[in-house]
Amino acid sequence: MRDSYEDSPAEARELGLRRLSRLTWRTAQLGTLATVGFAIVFARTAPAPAANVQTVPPGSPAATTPAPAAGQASAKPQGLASTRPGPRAATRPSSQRTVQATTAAAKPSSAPAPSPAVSHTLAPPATTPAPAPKASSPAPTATSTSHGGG
Amino acid sequence: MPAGTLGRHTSNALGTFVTLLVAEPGGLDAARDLLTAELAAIDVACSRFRADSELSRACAAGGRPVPVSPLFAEALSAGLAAAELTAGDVDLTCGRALIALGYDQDFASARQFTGSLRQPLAPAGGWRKVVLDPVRQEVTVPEGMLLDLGATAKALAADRAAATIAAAIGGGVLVNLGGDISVAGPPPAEGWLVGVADDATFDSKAASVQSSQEIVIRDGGLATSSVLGRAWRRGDARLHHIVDPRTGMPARSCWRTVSVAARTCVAANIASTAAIVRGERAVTWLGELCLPARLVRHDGGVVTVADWPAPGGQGPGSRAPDSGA
Repeated sequence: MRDSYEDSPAEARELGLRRLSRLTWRTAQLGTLATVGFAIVFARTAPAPAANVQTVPPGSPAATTPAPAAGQASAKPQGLASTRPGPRAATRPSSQRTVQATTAAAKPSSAPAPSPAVSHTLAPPATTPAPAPKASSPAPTATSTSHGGG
Repeated sequence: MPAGTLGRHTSNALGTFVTLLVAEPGGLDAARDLLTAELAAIDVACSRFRADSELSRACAAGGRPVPVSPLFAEALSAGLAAAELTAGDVDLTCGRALIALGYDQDFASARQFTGSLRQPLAPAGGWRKVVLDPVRQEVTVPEGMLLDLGATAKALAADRAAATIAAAIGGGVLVNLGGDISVAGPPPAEGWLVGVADDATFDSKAASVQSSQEIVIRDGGLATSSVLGRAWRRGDARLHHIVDPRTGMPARSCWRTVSVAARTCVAANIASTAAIVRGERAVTWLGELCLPARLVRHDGGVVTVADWPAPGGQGPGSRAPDSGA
């Protein structure tokens, strides 16, 4: 490395500029490396955003007025029930609102739950309830009442 | 349905009757053990009447975050979902309202007292103020607020137990917790024959109920809500347990009983309870959701929604809940 500046001032100036350029380049490289390093460390250690159920807008209009679905309901007063009796295995439309109530982190570990991420939706059953057989039917095996508090 | 070939177990838990049916009787013992464990777990997590329950501890924490079990977090999620899906018509923060109405201990005890109400009515505390952090597994209940997971926790227990049992024994199962029914796994060939009761005919002395209609279900859940089933008196007032969150009073509904079938028992329970609170609006609401439902007016008139089956040819017969052969 040259330390004497007995050459012309222009040459000395040129040498200084080259040194400055190299220094700037090395500094930029170090800065880039540091930035990438910080990003990696942050990505590995920062907590995931909490899936709080309250982040879902409550009481939105869709909760009370969901989009009309196929198979429009029939309302038949005074015991004149549905005119489409009989068991059907048709899959019902699934246009209902769903509330993603918990994440997998909230899944109980003590027993298998119905799904890994428990979501709640007001969806109809896969199979529409059917009328009981008419003749010589045995007693029902279960009874739905409100005595459970529902 | 060859009911005689089903495995059957009956008991009492969570303040009501419990019925377990399995399509393969050989799996009954294992199924019963799983059900018993599930009911015990839900009771210690969600009971409003146990000081040592997680629910009681969360409500008594003075507004501080409380670590909770995965099961309680799931039950609270169901309660919060019920509030959101019904725009607040089913509100888990009605605990104080129920106490003000005299439902301050388990129902069998609470109905014994008929004195006048001593506390002012208390509207719901506001479900949006309850914070569940499922990542940290913490719950924050504002100070002074009391939660009542009541029916949704019971329905959740039915869903969880049915799913667990079906997975364990590899066969069809029906779990009935006080009338909230969940089925899972392959059903019997002719489905599950279920009586749908109108609690106007419930005989508390004989613990018998008259089925208004009998239907067959194959999957999902079925729940019935009524202003008659859990009713009591305080002075001259006749009260029931379905509270209008906005007033803190028992809901004044045009329906005395609503039964709903849905994908899960939790969903069926949410819908049937909300239908009582919503009154006439419930018919349109349930129809738009395509939820098969049967709604009974106070005069006995019936409205059916979304392909709820027509009444069969058989007449109703009086029988104890789930006393089928």
